[in-house]
Amino acid sequence: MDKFINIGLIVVIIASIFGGRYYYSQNLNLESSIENTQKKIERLRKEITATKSKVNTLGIRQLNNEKSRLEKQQEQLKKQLESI
Amino acid sequence: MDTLLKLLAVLTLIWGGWMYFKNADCDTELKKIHNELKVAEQEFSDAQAAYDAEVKKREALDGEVNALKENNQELKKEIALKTREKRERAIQERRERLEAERKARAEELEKEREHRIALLDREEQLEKEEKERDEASRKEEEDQMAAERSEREKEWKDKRLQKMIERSERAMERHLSSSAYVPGDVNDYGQIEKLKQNWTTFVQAGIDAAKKGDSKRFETFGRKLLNVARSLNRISKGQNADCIKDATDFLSEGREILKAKKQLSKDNP
Repeated sequence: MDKFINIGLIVVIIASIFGGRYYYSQNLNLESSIENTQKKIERLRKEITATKSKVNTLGIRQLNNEKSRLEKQQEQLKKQLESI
Repeated sequence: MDTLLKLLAVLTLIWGGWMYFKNADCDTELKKIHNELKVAEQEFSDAQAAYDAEVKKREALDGEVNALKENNQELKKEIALKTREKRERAIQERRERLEAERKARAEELEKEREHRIALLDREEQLEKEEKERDEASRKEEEDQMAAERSEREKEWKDKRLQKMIERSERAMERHLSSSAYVPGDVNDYGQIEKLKQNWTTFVQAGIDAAKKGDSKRFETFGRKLLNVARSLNRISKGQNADCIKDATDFLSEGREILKAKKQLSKDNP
C-alpha cells in the first residue's frame, strides 16, 4: 500500500514539477510580453505627446491671426479703393 | 523517507499551483496591458489623424494667407495706381485752372495796360496842350518883356550916350578953349587943330562903337582918345590935365556901358 502511495506521490511530484516548470516558462514569456507591451505603450504615449506638441508647432494660431489681420487689411484696402 | 516524499510532493504541488495561478494572473495582466495598448494605439492614431488634419488645415491656411497677401498686394498696387492717376488728374486740373487764371489775368492786365496807355496819352495830350499854352503865354510875356526891356535899354543907352556925348563935348570945349590953351610954339596951332579934329572923330567913333556894342573898336578909339588927351596936355605944358581925366572917364564910362549891355544881353538872350 505504501508503495502505491509513494508511487503516487512521486507521480504527483513529477507532474507538479513539469506543470510548474511549464507555467514558470509561460510566466516568463508572459512577463516578457507584458514588459514589451508596456514599453510599446510608453513609446506610443511619448509619440502621442510628441504629435500633440508638433501640432502646437504648426503655428495654426499665428496663421489664423495673420489671416484675420490680412482680412481686416483687405477690408480697409477695399474701403480705401472705393473712397478714391 | 515517506514523510520527506510527502513533504516534497506537497511542496512541488504548492509550487506548481502557485505557478499555475501566477500564470493566470499574468495572463490577465497581459490582456489588460493589451487593452491599454489598443487604447494607446487608438490614441496615437487619433493624434496622428489630428496632426494630419492640422497639417492640412495649416496648408489650407497657408494658401488662404498667401492668397490674401497677393490680393492685398494687388489692392495696394491698384490703390497706388488710382492714387497716382487721381494726383495726376488733380495736377492737370490745377494746371488748367492756373492757365485759365493766367490767361484771364493777362487779358485783364492787357486791358488795364491799354486803359493806362490811353490815360497816359490823354494826360500827355493835356500836358502838351498845357505846355503849348504855357509856352505861348510865356513867349508872349517874354516878347512883351523883351520889348519893354529893349525900349528901356534903348532909352537908358540913348540917355547915357547922350550924357557921355554932352560931357565929352563940354570937356572938349573946356579943354580946348583959348583960356585953357597955352601954346609953347607957333607951329603948335596946326597940331592943336589936328588933335581937336581927332578928338571929335575919336569921340564920335567911340560913341558909335558903344552904340553897336563893339567893345574892341571902342577900346581902340578910347585909347586913341587918351593919347590925344595926353598929347594936348603935353603941348599945353600940363595945362590940360583934366583933359586926360575926361578921356579916362569917357573910356571907363564906355566900358561900363558895354559891360551893362553885355550883361543885359546875357540875362535876356
